[in-house]
Amino acid sequence: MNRTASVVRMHWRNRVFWMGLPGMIMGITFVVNLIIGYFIGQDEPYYTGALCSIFIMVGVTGVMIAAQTFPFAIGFSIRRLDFFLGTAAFAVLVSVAFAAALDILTYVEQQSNGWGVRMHYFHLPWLSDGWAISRFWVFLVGFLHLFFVGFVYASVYRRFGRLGVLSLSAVLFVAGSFGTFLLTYYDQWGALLDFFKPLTSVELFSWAAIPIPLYAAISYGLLRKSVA
Amino acid sequence: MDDSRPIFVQIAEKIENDIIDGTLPEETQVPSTNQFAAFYQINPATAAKGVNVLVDDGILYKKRGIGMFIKEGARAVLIEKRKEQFYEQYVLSMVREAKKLGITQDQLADMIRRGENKE
Amino acid sequence: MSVVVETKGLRKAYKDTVAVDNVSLKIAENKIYGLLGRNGAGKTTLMHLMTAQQLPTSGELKVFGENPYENERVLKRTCFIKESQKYPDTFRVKDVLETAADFFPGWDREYAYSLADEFRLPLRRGMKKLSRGMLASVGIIVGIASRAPLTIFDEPYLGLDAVARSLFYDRLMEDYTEHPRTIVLSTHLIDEISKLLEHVILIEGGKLLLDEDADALRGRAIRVSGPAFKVNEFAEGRKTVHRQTLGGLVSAVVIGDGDGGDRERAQRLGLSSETVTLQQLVVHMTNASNANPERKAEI
Repeated sequence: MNRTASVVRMHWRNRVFWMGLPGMIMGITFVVNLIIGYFIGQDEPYYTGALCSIFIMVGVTGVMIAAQTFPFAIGFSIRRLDFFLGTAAFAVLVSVAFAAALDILTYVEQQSNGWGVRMHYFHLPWLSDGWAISRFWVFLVGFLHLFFVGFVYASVYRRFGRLGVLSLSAVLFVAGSFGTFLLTYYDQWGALLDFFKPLTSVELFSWAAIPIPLYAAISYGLLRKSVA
Repeated sequence: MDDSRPIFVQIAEKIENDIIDGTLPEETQVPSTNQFAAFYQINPATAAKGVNVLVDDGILYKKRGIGMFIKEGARAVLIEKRKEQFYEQYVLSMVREAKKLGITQDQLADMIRRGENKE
Repeated sequence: MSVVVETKGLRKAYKDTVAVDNVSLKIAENKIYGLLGRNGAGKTTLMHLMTAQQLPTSGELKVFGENPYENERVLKRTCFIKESQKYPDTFRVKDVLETAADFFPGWDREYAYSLADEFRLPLRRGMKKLSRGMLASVGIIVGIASRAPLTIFDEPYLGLDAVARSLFYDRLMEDYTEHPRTIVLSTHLIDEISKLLEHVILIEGGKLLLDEDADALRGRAIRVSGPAFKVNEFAEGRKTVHRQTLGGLVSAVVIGDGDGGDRERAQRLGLSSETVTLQQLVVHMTNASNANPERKAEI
């Protein structure tokens, strides 16, 4: 157990990579949008979709972190299990920190009349509906889901190399196309939309939380047989 | 240290030489295994093996908790041993070579005297 | 004498090559081993197997009496320093040393920083910005300061100048004397480290060629030269690992008993003789095994 903690501390030393980069990207898009918001005037509320940048960056972190630290840690006599547990634990910590930060920024945005320019960067319709705690949950699940999807990809790469990643992408692409084809063929798009339409963000993201442990299990299963 | 002969043998020879020429007088302490290892940049286990050869030969003895010391009378024993080696290593091959060249015993004795005068 | 690493019929095969082929050996506690062989002989793969960073195709492997794979008891007593070690992009020298302090239970922090000072490592510089020699120094410091009961170095000095290499050998021996442990040094600079070795393991083409006490190997082989028929007489019934002819003259490296009797016999036959260094012996044995891949060298 204490070597899992060592892995967590290793990631903490790498916090610039984990938190600095996503934070910086979000900061830049925020400032850019703020300037735009200032210039377009405050007659209308200004909605941006740029918040997705930090979510994408967390997904990218999930893809990159194994390449950055797995060979390093395994080379320094760490078990694959400890690497996995420590990395997953740190991903949870980062997601909690980011979700809390977004929650606070949403509150500030509401209180400051959209940073003085009626900009909606953090507080978005549907996504931000509900209590602060439900927003926290939505953000948290969003981060974790994207991180672990990225981490599965990285684990496939560690275990099966470039060919593995290409094969997985091909399989997903074919499955996606086939699904689209079926929906079109049986004329079920409407039914699908009807299913999603009434869902609140909390409901939808609660569904999205379910596969996270599955992604984690797949990652571990792959890393267990990976070589440094 | 020469890498074409066992190093422990060379360590033992070094200590023997120091005893014979008086650098290490009898009843004094010899450097520790680790000091030998550090000085010659060799493996301590190999240095210890060299020292142990001399313990087995009765040249060195161990004072518990202090280290290795040179036995009284060790120098005389070593000189005796070296004389025997001298005969085997130098005299025998000299005689063999002399025979090959047809040098007689008298001529050989003469040569030895000549060599001694030169020194 | 307790055994730290034991392999039986260990084998690692890739798609089209066999990197480690039926290797059975034992590595004893608190000795310094030289793992020798040419590039591509299988040394690196063997070390990756011993540290569970790669998995064997077949055969048995025990480290500290257990299977090392995913085994915390074994891995935390093991430190493997390799040239290809990767580091996170954002890490500085200090981050690597601090992480190593966290990973290796025997780590001596103060000693690690004093070594960093001696090797003139800039602690605040990013790992990506280090020269090759500095990168090697980081590995060396981790290897020494971790004080792992099984410490393995794979060509750890690449990019280091002679002064820094000598500093490495000095500090390694010093710390080994104070804190004995099992050390495996993989290298092809045999002459430089041969005096530090207690035992030699030589592999070629994935196969174990030699597994012998280092001192027993020194002087075991002699080079004799003279007329062909006399050299043949001398070499009769012994293994010849190298042979050269110059007109009617033959020079041969012959494996003997190493007790001095060989040189005397050569002299009696009228052959000139000289002993062969460990490095020369290893080179000749490696070449002989390539010429004769079927035969395992037997000394």
